[in-house]
Amino acid sequence: MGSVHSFFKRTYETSKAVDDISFSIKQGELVGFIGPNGAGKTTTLKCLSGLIYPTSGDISVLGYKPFDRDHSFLRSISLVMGQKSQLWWDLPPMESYLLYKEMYDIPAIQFKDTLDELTDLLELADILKVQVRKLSLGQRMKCELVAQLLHRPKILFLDEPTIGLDIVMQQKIRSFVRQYNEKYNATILLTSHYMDDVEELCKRVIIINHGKLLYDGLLSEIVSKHTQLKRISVVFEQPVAREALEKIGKVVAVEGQNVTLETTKEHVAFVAGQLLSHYPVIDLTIEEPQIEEVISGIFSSAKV
Amino acid sequence: MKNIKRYLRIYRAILKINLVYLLTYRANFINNIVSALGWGAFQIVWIVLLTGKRGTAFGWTQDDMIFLTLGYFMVLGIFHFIFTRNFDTFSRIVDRGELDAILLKPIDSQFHSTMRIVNYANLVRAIVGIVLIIIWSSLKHYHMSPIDIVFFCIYVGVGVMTMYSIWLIFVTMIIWYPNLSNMVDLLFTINGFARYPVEMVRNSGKIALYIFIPLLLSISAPIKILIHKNATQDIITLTLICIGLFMFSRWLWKWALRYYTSAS
Amino acid sequence: MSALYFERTFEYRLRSFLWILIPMSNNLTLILFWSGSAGLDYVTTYYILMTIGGLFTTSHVEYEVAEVDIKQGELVNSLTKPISYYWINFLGELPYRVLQAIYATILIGIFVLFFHGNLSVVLKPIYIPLVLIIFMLGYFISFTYKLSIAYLSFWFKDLRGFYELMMIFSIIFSGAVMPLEWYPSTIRTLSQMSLFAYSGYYPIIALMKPFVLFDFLSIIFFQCIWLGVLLLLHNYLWKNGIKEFTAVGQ
Repeated sequence: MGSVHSFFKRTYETSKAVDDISFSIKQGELVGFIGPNGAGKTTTLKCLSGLIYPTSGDISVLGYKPFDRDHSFLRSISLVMGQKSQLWWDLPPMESYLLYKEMYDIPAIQFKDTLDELTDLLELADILKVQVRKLSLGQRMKCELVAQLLHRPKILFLDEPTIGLDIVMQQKIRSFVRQYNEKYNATILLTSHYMDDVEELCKRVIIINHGKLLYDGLLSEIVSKHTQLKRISVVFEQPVAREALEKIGKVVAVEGQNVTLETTKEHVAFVAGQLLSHYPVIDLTIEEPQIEEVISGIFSSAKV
Repeated sequence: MKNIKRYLRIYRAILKINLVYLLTYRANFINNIVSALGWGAFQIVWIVLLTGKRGTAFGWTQDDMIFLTLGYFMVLGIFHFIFTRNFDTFSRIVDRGELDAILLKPIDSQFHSTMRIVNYANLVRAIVGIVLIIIWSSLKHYHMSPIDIVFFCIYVGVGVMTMYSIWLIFVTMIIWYPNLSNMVDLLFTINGFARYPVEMVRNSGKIALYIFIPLLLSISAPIKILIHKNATQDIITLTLICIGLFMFSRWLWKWALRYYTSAS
Repeated sequence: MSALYFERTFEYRLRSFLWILIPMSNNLTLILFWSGSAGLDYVTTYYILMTIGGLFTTSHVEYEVAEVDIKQGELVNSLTKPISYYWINFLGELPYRVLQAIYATILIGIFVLFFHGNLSVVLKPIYIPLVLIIFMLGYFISFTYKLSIAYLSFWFKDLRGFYELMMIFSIIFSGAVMPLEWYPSTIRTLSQMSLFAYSGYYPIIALMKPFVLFDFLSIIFFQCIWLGVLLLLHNYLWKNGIKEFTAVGQ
């Protein structure tokens, strides 16, 4: 009955995908743009690349208004979406590259040089003539990157480029992105749910949630700002009573001879000293809490 | 001029990539030819059955109406060759956000979204249509001068552009309603109006039906040139309608893109 | 299960409405074609009833079965259910019939407004139950036939050309072009015996012609024969086809 009722009368809700976000990025910067699912990251990237018309506000990219879709603007940018392919599915990537060569007006010599360089960097020589649908996800992602970089864009929007890829492939993509940024001084805005991508590539991060900007600054500052704690992982020669360790610091985990304690930055030296002097220790490591935990805490609290 | 050359180069690349696709999937191509010719033949059977019962209608004899249907066969072949596959996939590309890839390229988005896929099977249909027109005109002694043929070709082009503009106006609605995948099915049916003489609607006295006149004229007008019916008024009307509809469809397309929301 | 199908069908109103506009605009051109000729009232009624009647008697199950269930492997979801695949598809189609009934009511109103002078229906109220049976059997013929040809996807990868050819035959032989009695004699005889006529044409004629009891019972008899043949074909294709199913894509 509900579905019949909704046939005749429906109610609608409006929700803001992006709500008063402001930032600026200099040429050559490699910035991480992070937030939980539904935060508005992809919507922001789509506004920046001119796909979506913003309801209000101003956007300027390389001096252009993205939504005007000036051809010179489009030749200067690239949007790589990890979950979407822009290549012809039933044909080898090379056929799509030849079409894009014409669309981007790439001179023949530059096209060959760029293609050779990119295929070397990404190790693609064997698969350029294999149908896209027969490629693995990692191979497809690399071919996708080549397609988006043939015209040597000055600005790269990478929307979850490593999603679904294995660890080796993720590292290769990261390494490639870093090299491209260094070699061409390209500005790169990267979204990713894998904190390894952000940690390895980005000094600066912008954090958003529910469409609102939460933080814009150095990644290192947010870690140190958000945690006054350190973790000490110890491997004892023989199991040690928990009660005894609780007198020195907070016990977070115990697994036989492996124990993890948590303490403040000011006390970490004292605690480490106590452990080493009073107990038989095989190994001792001092670490920051995982960055994922820090970021996850920010997402949940919606405060920085 | 430089821009025209650029787009010709791009279109050549589009034709090439579609040809590569065709050669990769040959069985699919044969299937499409069977389908295209099957529907074309069906149109002819349809009009033969109808005119077999009715005879002369709206000032057109049975032979004239069969000639009109052959014109429809050919013009639809050209239209489906260049445009229809693009309109067919429109609902899917809007619904899944695949329009993003089209909008990100530094070429006119209307050109790219309506001309990037080519259906070579319907080129076969267009060629068969031309052959049938030649055969029928020789069997029924329709005499055409070179000027008639030139004007016919020009107004086939105008007719195709009119149809294109009408389809684009309807298909643009998909940006607001991505689930309207059957919009193209509706357009195929509405296109069927063009099988009939324009006088059918003019003589009906129902003003509401005059919205179909552009479609009817898109085939009637060029055919009238060939069979020497009084075509002057229709040609002028078709030209003005074509220009007006094309400008409106282009404006509507650009305006609609403001409402495109992509897809996650 | 029925409730879920209802929800899915009623979700997209504009899309459903377009499905109605398609046969309506096609038949409108035909009414216009016959304007000014003798027999306009008869043919106007015929095409209007074809438009409305077709909403009830035409099944569209083949795409979902052939492309989605068989080729994409979604059939596995139905195979694990304790209800036959035939009836699962019937339940899936049921909400569309309800939706068509809503639109048919609107269409009847529009047609009466524009063409009231040209409409003539001669059915006696006492025969309404028999006409309802004829419509129901007409639907089942269409449904069973479409389901059966969809099963060919168990063996063949690409049947688009074949489906389109069958659609062309269906349009010609079901009287969608014009009343079958107006066809040239050979085509007329073939058409009037075909399953397409018993699905699409006879339900309409049952409303329009001054039939007596025997005529209605004859139509029902031949519809049952056709339905029986189609059910045998359906069962044969299903039993053998399911052995070929490899659930590719799942």
